Amino acid sequence: MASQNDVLIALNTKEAAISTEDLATELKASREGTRKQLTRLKDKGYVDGDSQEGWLITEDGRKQLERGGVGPSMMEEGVTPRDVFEGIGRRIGLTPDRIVLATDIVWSGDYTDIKWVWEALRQAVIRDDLAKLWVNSWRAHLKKGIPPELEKELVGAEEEHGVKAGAKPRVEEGRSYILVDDLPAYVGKNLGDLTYEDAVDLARIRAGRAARQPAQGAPSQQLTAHDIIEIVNAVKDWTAGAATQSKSYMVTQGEEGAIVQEVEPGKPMVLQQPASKPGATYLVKPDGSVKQMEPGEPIVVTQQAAAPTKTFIVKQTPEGATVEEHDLSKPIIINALAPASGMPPMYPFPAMGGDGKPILGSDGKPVYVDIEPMLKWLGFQSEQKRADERHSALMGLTQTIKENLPIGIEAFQRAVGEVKKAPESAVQQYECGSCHTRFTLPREPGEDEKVICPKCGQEWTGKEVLGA
Amino acid sequence: MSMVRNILQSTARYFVLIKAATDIVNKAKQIGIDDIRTLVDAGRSITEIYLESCTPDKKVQKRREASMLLEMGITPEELWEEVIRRLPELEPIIKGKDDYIRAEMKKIEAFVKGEI
Repeated sequence: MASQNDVLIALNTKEAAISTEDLATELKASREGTRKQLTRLKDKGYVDGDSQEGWLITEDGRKQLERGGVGPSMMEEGVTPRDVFEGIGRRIGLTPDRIVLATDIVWSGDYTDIKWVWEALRQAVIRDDLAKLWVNSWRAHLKKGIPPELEKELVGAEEEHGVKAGAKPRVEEGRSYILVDDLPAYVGKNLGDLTYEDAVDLARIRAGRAARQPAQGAPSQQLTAHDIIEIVNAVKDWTAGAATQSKSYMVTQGEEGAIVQEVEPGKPMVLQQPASKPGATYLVKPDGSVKQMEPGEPIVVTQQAAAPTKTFIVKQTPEGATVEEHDLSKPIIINALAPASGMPPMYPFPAMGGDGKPILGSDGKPVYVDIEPMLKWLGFQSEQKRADERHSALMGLTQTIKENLPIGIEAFQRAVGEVKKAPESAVQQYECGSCHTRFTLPREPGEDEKVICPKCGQEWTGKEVLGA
Repeated sequence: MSMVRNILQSTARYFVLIKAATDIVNKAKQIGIDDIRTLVDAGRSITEIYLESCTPDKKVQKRREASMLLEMGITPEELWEEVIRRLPELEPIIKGKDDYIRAEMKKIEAFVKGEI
């Protein structure tokens, strides 16, 4: 991600607005990262514009560049704790692979726990002197003190050789202290921000300030009767020399303000009860006018008749549904219109809300909808469904016929062949003895039955026909 | 008119006969001629084996089809002739085995009557 300074320098060379994408390409940075930096610079007033119209450097931005550029904070530049930790490792002089390996181990636990960080660096086989430096630097970054368990490892040789018997163990030369919860904490020689004296002084100042400030949300201190008596006595003592005789005063509330009267000792005072003037009474009429009522004047409240419920008549016209307000004094006459073109008339359908009540328009009248298209659509869907089912049935029937067609053809051929064969074998033919015409009879004649030749009309007896 | 009616009736009768014979032939081909020969030589009833493999629903269907054949005047012998006509390889297998055929016909009749 390009720095804010890089973005500002790039914009300073542009005379016209430039898009986020073009700027990111020029800076060889990601579009999203460049957009973030631009937004931060815009918040500071150094650039103007947006992703749509493009970006331009402002006059303040140019002045900032002349002053030396923009110095972004760590959070703005997206520096994470892990980046800081790895940065310390790089400054120590470890190889990148070693740093990543050690950081991975540290980040597998609570990286804010100094004990764990030390343990993790030991697991990563970092040399003791380097690990000590790394942990102390990290501890300084986190503004944490040395854990008692690691005091020997992290402070090490300094304690052994630097501390003399009888000397204060924590008093070290240089800035080796920081304040943790307003208390001095030793963070290693020259690894802190304060000397011991400065840290102690600062801790005292902060403790004193905290003591003077009341706790938030605590109730304000109330004066007790004892406190008041003490204050009065103190004032009395202070004024004792000047005062010759105490005087008493009475304060009454008059029409034109407070009246102070000196009370003479031994003289009775008669307190007059101030006549209370009755307040004025006002009547607000339904039309909004206000009238001041005299005392004793009666107020008659008239019962307002409830507004009659309005009735609306919906008429179906060729142009569509119309709604009219109905005059209650007039009757409603419904003319049954003959449906045109054989179709039933389409009555308007009131639009219903989710609560089951009719929806009212801005004019307070019910809203009606034309459901004819919906009905047509439903009809179309039903018709489609029926057509699909009919098609499926026809296809099934066709398949059955297709499967059984050869059998049917064969059965038909055999049946026809059987019928053809039957007359030759079953039907008896007769021949006339006179004209020799061949003919058939529907049934075999009886012996006494007469048979007539259909051609010559010769008459034969059944016995003669059968005997022949 | 009467001739037309006769042709239709006869067509229906032949249709049922050919359909039943075709089903039997297809089943016989599915079993395999060699296996049928083995079963017949061993005296095992093919009808019984077939019916044992049928589900109750299938048995009901087959019984209905057989009843229809009988109602239309088609005898087991006629059906057997039609089967042999369509699968001549079966003829040498059952040649001279009249007792076996008679026993099979009785089993078929018993099945149609619902006895087995």
